[in-house]
Order: sequence, then C-alpha cells, then structure tokens
Amino acid sequence: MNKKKLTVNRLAMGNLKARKKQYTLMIIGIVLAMIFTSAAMFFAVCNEYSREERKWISLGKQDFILKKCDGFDLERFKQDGSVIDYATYEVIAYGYSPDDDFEDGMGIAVHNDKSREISHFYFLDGRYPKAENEIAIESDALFRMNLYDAVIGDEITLNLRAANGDGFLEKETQKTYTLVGILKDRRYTYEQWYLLNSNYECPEYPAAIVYDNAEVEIGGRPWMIGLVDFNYDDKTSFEPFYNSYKEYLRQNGLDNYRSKIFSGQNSVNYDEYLDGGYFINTGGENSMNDWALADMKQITSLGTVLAAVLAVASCFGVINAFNTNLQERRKQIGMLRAVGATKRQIIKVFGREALLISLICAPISVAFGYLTVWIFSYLMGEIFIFNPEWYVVIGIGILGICFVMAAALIPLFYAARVTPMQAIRNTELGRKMKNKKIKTVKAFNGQKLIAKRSLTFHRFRQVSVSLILIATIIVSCFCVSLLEYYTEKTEEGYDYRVHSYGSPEYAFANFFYDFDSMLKENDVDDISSNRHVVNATGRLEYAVNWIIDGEYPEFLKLAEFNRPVNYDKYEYGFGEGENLKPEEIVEYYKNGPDYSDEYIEFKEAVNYEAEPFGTRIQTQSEESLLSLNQYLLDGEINIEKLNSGEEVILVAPEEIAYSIKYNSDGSYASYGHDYITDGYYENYRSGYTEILREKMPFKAGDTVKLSMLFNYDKKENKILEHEKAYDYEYERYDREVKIGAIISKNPFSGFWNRLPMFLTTNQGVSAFGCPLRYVFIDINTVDEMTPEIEEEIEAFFRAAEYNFDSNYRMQELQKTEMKTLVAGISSIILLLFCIAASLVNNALTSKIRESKREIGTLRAVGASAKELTMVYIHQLLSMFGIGCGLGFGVYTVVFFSAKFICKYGIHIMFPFEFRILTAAAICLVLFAICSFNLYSKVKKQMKYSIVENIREL
Amino acid sequence: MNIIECVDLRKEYLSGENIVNAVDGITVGFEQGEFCAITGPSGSGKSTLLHVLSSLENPTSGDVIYNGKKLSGYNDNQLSVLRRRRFGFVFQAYNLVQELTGYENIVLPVMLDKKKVDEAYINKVINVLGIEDRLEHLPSALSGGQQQRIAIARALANKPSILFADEPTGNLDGKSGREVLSLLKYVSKEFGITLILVTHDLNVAEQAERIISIEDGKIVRDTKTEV
Repeated sequence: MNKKKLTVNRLAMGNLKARKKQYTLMIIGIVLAMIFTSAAMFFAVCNEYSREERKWISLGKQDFILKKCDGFDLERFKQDGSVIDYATYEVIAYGYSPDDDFEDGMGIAVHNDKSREISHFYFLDGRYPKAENEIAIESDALFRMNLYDAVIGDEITLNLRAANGDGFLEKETQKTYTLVGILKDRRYTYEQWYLLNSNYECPEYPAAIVYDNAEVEIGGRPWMIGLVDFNYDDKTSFEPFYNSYKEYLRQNGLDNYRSKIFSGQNSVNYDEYLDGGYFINTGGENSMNDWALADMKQITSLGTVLAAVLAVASCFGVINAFNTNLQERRKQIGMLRAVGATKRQIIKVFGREALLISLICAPISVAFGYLTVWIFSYLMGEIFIFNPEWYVVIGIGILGICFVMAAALIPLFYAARVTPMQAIRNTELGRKMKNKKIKTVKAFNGQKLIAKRSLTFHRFRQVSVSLILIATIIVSCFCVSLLEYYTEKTEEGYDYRVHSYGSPEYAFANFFYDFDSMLKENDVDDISSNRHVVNATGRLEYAVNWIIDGEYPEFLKLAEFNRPVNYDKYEYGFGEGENLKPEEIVEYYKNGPDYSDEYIEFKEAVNYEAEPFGTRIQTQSEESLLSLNQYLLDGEINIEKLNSGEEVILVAPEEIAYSIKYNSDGSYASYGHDYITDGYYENYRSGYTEILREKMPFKAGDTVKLSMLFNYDKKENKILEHEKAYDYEYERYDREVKIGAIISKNPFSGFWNRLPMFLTTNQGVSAFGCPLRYVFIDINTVDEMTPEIEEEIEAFFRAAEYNFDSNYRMQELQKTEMKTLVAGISSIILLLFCIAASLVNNALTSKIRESKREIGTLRAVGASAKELTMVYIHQLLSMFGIGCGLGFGVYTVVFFSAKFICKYGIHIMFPFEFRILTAAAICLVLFAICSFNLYSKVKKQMKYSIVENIREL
Repeated sequence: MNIIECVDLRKEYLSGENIVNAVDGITVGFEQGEFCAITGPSGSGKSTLLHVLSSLENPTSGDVIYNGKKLSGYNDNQLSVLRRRRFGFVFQAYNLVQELTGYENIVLPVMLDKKKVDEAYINKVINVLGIEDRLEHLPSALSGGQQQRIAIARALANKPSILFADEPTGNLDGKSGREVLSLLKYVSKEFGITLILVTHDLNVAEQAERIISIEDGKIVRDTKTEV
C-alpha cells in the first residue's frame, strides 16, 4: 500500500502527469507567448544599456577630455565633489608611416589601469599590447597611413617624433611594432564631431596605444591627457572647474589656439566657446554625432514596442491557456469542492500546478528570449550591443515566473469561486446564458447558429484569439513596411563612382585650384571603353547664384538663416541661428543679418546689382532625373528642355522650418529643417519647438536668373584662408531659365545637401557656355558581375589612377545586411505566427475536447463529418472575421493616428506605408492551418462511435 | 414485415485484456408502429443492442437491416442522412445542444437536412408534449422532464420511422417519468412510429406491446403483452 503522504505538491504533480498531452500543448503555447515577454524585457533593458555602452565605445566613459593637464590639480576637484573620477595618460610620440605623409600620422599613447578603464577601448580585432614592441591602432589611422590591408600580427614600421609636453620634437627615430590590436575609431569620431568647425582637426590625438611602460628613445616630455568623469548633479560646480582649467591654459600660454570648441549644445548649460581647443566635452546628450546611435535607438525602440505589443497579446494567450485548462476541469474542481476542499486549497493545488508550469516554462522562454535578442543583435552588427548582466537574466526569469503565475491566478480565482454543484453541473453556462438575451431563430443554418452561439457564450476565447490576431496584423503590417523602408533607403543608381581629385570651392563662385585634374569628357569616354562598363555618366556640381530682383522671398531668407555656409556674406560668419539664444532667433531673423565688408566688395567685383542667393546646380543622367518624378511637386521633368538649357529643375521642399530642442537639463540646441515635405521633418528628431516656418513660394514656369562665376587661378589657398576672394578675375556666365519642375528632395548624394538647389543635365549646364568638369563619373557595369570582373574593373581604374569607390561592393554588403534584416523581421513574424497558430488552435481544440458529448449528439441527430467540421469552421471563421476586422481596423486607426501626430503634432517623419497584403496573407495561411487542424481533430472524434462521443470516452 | 431487424448481431468490447460480448448473436425484428421495450439487468447488453440497431455503433459482426437494406452497405454520410430522416433518438441524459433554445433544438435535425420546417406538424408535436411555453428557453433553464420532452420533440421533428429511446425516464422522478413514457406511447401511436425503448425498469417495460429480455448479450425472452 502506498503510504506516501498526500500533499498539495503531489496532487499538482499527479495532475501534470495525468494530463501530459494537454499540459505539453499548453506549455508550448505558454513558452511561445513568454518568449516575447522575455524578449520585450531584454529589449527594454538592453536598449538603455546599448546606448550607454555604444557611447562609451565611441567616446570613452569620461565626460571631458583635457588635452593637456600636467600640473592641473584634478584631485582637488575630486575632493570637492565636482569630479567623480579622473585619470591621466601620456602621449609619448607622434608616429607616421615612412611611406606616407606626416599629417596622416597619429599620437601614440601609454595608458595606466585607471585610464584604460575610463577610456573603455573597443577592439575590432586583437587585444591590448602586452609587450614592449606591440601596438594597437585605430582602424581609421591605419587607413590614413595606407595600411588598410594590415592584419593582426603584421610588422608596422613608424617614424616617431617624441612628445614634448604639448607638442612633438622635430627629431625622428624609426621603430617597428607588431600590430596586436585594431581599435574602433575614436579620433575620427572626435574629428567628425567637430566638423562644425572646419579648422578643427586633432591628428595628435592618440589613435595608437603601446605597452604600459613603453618609451621613445629620443627623449622629450610626455604629453599628459586628462579624462574627467564630471558630477553633473552639481551643475554650479562646472563654472569653477571650467575657469580653473582656462586659467591653467592661460598660464601655460595655450589660450591662443586657433580652434574653438563649441560646447553650448551639451549637457552643461554653458553656451560659450572655450578658447584653446584643449577641452572636449564628451558627456552631454548631444555629444556624439553618431547616426548609428540614432538608428540603434530607432530599431531597438521599435523592437521594444513590437515585443511589448506581442507580450500583451501573449499575456492574454497565457490567461486563455489556463482558462481553457480550468474550464475542462470544472468537474474536478467541483468534486474537490464537494469532498470538502476550500477555495484556498483549490487555489493552492492549481496554483502549485501553475508554479510548476511556470518553473518549466520560464527558463526555456528566457533562454529563447535571450537567444532571440542575441540573434537580433548579432544580425544588426555592432549597432546593437547585447551583453546583459547575469542578474538581469535572472531578474527577467523571475519576472517571467511572476507573469505566468499572475496569468494563471486570474482564471483560477474565478474558477475557485463556483459552488460544487455549479462546477459539476456546469451551471455556469446556464448563468451566462441567462444573462444573454437569446432570441429563438425559426429557420437557421445549424452549423452557423451553433458556432455563433458558442462564441456568444465563450467570449473570453473570442477575446484572446482577437487579441493575438490584432497583434499579428499590426506587427506584420509595420514590420513589412519597415522592411520596405530600409530596402528603399539602400537603392543606388550606380555600381562604381570615380571621383575627381579636386572640386570647385566657395559658396558664390567656383574656384578651381587644379582645373585640369577635374574629370573630363575624355575620362567618361575612357571609362566607357571598358568592356564591362555598360554606361558612364559625368556629374558636376557648380556653385550658382540665383539673382533675386525685387523683394527677397522669406523662404530664401529662412533657407540662408538655416545654413552655415555663406560665411563671407554675413558678419557673424556661420549659420546665424546656431549661435543664438532661443529668444533672440525670431528677432534676429526679422532684422536680417549684417553683410560683411568682404561680401559687399565681392558683389561689386562681380557686378551683381541684385542680391544673389548662393546655391548649387547639380547634373544627373536623364534616367536619374526621370526617376525623380516621385518627388514632383509642380510642373514636369522635360529632358529636352533641360538639355537645351531652357529649363532647370528646382529642388525645394514645400516648407522649411527652424526649431529649438530643449534638453532635460535646460540646455538647448537649434536645428534647421530643410526637408519638410507633406508636413514632415525628414531628419526626424522629437521634442523640439518650432519657431520659424516658411512655405515655398515658387511654381513651375517661373523664370529665374542664374549666374555662375568661374575662377581658374591656382593661387595657393587664398580661399581657404578666407582672404579677399574678389582680388581674382572671374568669368561670369548668366542665363535666364524657367523652372520646368519643382521636386521636394534630391536623393542623390553630392557635396551639397542644402535646399533649394537646381538640377539639370550636363548639356543643360553646357548651355550656359561654361566648361564641364565633373566631380564624379557614375558607372554602371554589366548585370552579371563576378569576382573576376570586379577585380578586372578595379585593376583598370587603378591602372588609370582613377580615384574610385565601389558602390557595387557596398550594395553587396547592403544586400547581406538586408538579408539579415529580412531574416530578423521574418523570424519575428514567424514566431508571432506560431504563437497565433498555437493559441487559436489551442482555443478551438480545447473546445472540441470539451464538446465530445455535443459532437455525439449532433452525429446522432444526423450531422455528417462535413457538417460537424463546418460547425467549428464557422466558429473559426467568426473568430477570424472579428479578429481580423478588429486587427485591420486597429491597424488603420493606429497607422493614420500616428501619421497625423507625426505630421501635425511632433513634426517628424513617419517612415511607414499602409501595407496590409502580407498581413492578410498571413491571416489566410493561419486560417488554412487552423481549419486543417480543426478538420483533423473532428475527424479524430469521428473515429469514435457516437456512443463513445456521448459518453465522453 | 419488419421495418428493422438484425441477424446474428454481435458486438464485442475489449475490457482490459478480456473480450466482452455485449451483444452475442442476436437475431430479432421489429414491425412498423410497434412499441417494444428491451429490458434486462445492468450490463446485459440492452443499450448496446439499441445503439447498434440505431447505427450509433457499428456491430462487430452480423447485419442490421432497415427496410430490407443492410446498414453495413451504407457509408458514413448515408448513415447520417438515415439518422436524421428516419431515426429519432431519445437519451437518458437528454443530450440537448446547450447553446440552442428549446425550439432550435427541436428543429435542428430538419435544419441539418436543409428542409423547411413543417410548422403544423411541429406545432402538433409541441402541443402533444406540452412544451409550448418552454421553447424560448435554453436547456440550462429547463427541468429534467422539460428537457426530455424537448429531446422527444427533436427526435420526432423529421417524422422518423423509428424512435429509439435509451432509458428515457432514467434521470427523471416518478411522476415525470410516467408522463414522458405516456407521451412516448402516445406519439408512437399518433404518428405511427416504431418505438424501441431500452429500460431496466419493469414498470416501464410493462407499458410496451412487446418485451424483449436480454441477459449476457442474448435474448432470453421475447413476449407480447396485452396493453
């Protein structure tokens, strides 16, 4: 005799063992549902983590870099609490390749443990140097030194100039290192970041690290660099710190450094320049001009939202799974209640079951959720960093268990409330039925009526199926649209591009320092002669002045106000708005800028009586121009008229705007929005306040006066030094042309991305009478490229000393990325599909299990297999009808609401299109699978005799 | 002439490792309009005989012949049509479709047959059974007796030739049981339907024109009674 004590656990385990099949199905459903829940949590946790980690990887953990700090007392600031932590390290030398220019070299640093920790280096390959002759170099620095083929283990010889406090000695030595690490670019990031100031470069900023105790033999003093982790909580402490450092620079004679570092956008509300260029703020919200970060935020935020939608739907799925299970076991609950089990005991027994199930499901789900996000991050490359701490994983596991328990307890509390007889006789259905007003139907389709009533009395089942269908539809629609968006973004119209070695400079006139080295028509012919080249088209981009007779349009005023380009036109130089305080912007805009003396003299020198709006005219192939019809706002693109020089295309958005974004700490930054079409800011940023907006006043058919100025003088660097440009002789080419078409954007990359601008053909520019010199030659190759052809073409370019880049290779890479994106999104849809299929099937098969007696009865009164199947198919159809109707309805509402809010509320671009076909196809496939499953389940019941059905055997 | 008969009918069940002969070579026939009670102790095979006769279960061997045609030659669909058009069933546990109202349950076989309801006939059945005021109710709102009346009405809805009743009074109290039995007898006579009723209650059986007693799957007595 079994004398083991009957405990709640044993009872719960017994139940699990006795209903293995049922529980297995339920567990599969719950696991699938929970994968999304855990994935949602992983996404949410790692989104923030990735942002921080990404920033650290790009810039380091410090808030400020002090590019000179020997003798500057950082410890004092740590003592007073304004600095949380700091470290210093030494630049010991400047190294460059003996085969390359001095300017292409880099600083070489020696770190200590503390500075290594704060610097947070990220190795693309290899490791930190551990021996005297080992070196790790940033990938961009290798590239600059023409060492782009360098791999770990290579011997690299460098000319070295030893550091000497804040510069480098002239005397050189040579040393050979073994490359042991390739670092992610950091110096390049700083340079990109400070592109705002065209004079800023930091070649001396260390892009190479050597072993901790390494020295350069030729002497000199190390250059001390400080890394400071600032205490932002105490904002008042910044000024003393800043002033102290400024004073330190002054005392060291370093406050006259030409470059100015702009720190006004950053976290500390400090809107002054710091002379000296020795202070780099890397701690602020806007301190990293890294679009990859924006992409990552966008993707992970979207991923979190999608996973959260799925998690909510999954939650209902889990509740549904438990509810179905409990419905099937009402009699058991009734029997337990009849033999004296209290509600509490019932909850304990079934709650323990739920706990056991959650203990089984949670680890599996968390593991798969982890794997899902890991695969996602792997596919997305280094944009997304997924490396959660162990306690985060454990925490998510515990949350998962709580989630299942909560989902289980809701139906359990309801189930435990029934009286024994209610449970045994299933009078719950009677109660539900009494609460519904049912009208007898005199003539009906038996299958349809039973299906309809069944859904009326089992609303929860309908709700859960509807929810999962709504989630499936919304997620699929947005995912497909997202995929389209990313696919469209990568389209380029050429396979190779040859660049000229020079390009025209200056905003108002075209200055050629090396006119002859620009690409010419015979280069186009030469390239076209290659047997693998299908076509080659030269593209130029010239400065052109739009001469405005009469009143200067507000639209053009705001366009000029937006852009930091016409630095000789206005007294203040750069785009005015960027340096103004919010309250000054509108006032300043109204009053207009002060013209510089140089600009006034320039106008006289070139005989401009009216005001010129300096912009660019770009040429494109006929095919490319015709493809711009999708952006057409007015008129038509007529190639003949463009070729004849009669017309040009004006690229101008419907509106432009200017806005301010306030950061959470009260600091601000201002932005110009050049690409507003159909109400959207295409460079989507949120949380800003629009302060100026102008509509585009031009229309097709308007005549514009365009003037091009050319100067072929080779006098050295006159323009770059910003000296008097009007000393030069200009050749002036003027023409009145009509605006044939206005398009909202110019998708082709070029030097110029500010609007408005003009587009035409090469022949169209020839009509001005000016010479054609190309900036690029765009090349299309044969369709079926092979590695051999690729090699041959590139060898041809190299032999002819063309400066080229391969868009074909880029496109191939993009295709690979696209494949991974497609794989990622498809797997989301597939997983969702599996969950939906599992839940819908579970809902209906449990209904069939519950309805054995009804099946028997219907068979007894003459229902055939087909008619019986139709009873359930009708239920499925109703569920799908309502679920899909609601799903597409909710999607439509969400889609158009979001579009409306983006357009009129927060003025950001809404990247999605209304796409329902894929979701409809998914629903159809889902319906087909569920129908087949139903059919097989009914068939299974039909294998039993009617009596067995009725007796529920 | 027999409307339904069986010849050397056998039905075996597997009970654990043993084979149980629930119906053991029974040959019997039933005439048109006859009221026959099949009786016997629990486990004697009376219900099984009824189930096999009515095509609710397939026999292990032997034949069921309806109107001269062997049911073994019918496929599943044909049997469904036969059940819905020619047979009526009344179960001990009523077996009403819980989601349908009384009236909808009654006309369900007609609707499954995609035929028009013979309103006059149905109304007559409803009147005879005295359930006019229960038609709008769902089964859960009806008493056992009322549910069984609805079940009888459903069984009669398609004007069947044979009404099979399996312990139709088994779940009812004495009074309700008697009423249901009277109704069955009445409708059988009124509509000329063969009534084959299974019961273990001798008082019920005695109401029949013919009583077949079964023990261990075999007919031990087949007697006509004076009613």
